Amino acid sequence: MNTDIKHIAALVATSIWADGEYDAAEKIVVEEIADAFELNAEDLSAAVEQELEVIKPMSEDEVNAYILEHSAEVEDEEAEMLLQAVLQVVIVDGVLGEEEVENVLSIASALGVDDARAVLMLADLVKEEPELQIEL
Amino acid sequence: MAVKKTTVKKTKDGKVDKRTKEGKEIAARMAKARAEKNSLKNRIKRLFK
Repeated sequence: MNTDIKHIAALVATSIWADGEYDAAEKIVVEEIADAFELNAEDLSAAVEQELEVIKPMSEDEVNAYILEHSAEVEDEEAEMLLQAVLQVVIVDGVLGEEEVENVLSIASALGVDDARAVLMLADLVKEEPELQIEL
Repeated sequence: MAVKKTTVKKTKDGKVDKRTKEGKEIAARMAKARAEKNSLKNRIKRLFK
């Protein structure tokens, strides 16, 4: 990955913030992201935890500005990879509902990934996860 | 082309502690299973097919 780890951590942290949990499951996903992006797992975990502390006192508007700021620094050719990482965090609780989808599409937009492409990526994910509960 | 405003929100579940101890254990097991089958890596590979 050419994108700085700080920006990767920021977007991963945002997804964790939106879902409201940072437990064993999320930590396993962060390690999986590190592995997929060939980053040091401890470095990424530490960076995510640092960004979670940055986000904690923010309002939703401030978090959205933060997402835009960090998304702008993601290398164009790595935007979809980052979005895949965000998806991995979003599904960690085993449930996919409208709010999660709206958040995914918002982050996709910030990353410059168009809706159609983001929806296809979601569909690809859902196909691979038969136990994922879809909350209509 | 109109620029879409980013509006990520905390999910309503994110505002409360939504997982029981058992739920957290299940989530961790499933996350581990996904990692072991390279779920994320495989989806990333498909992006570049």
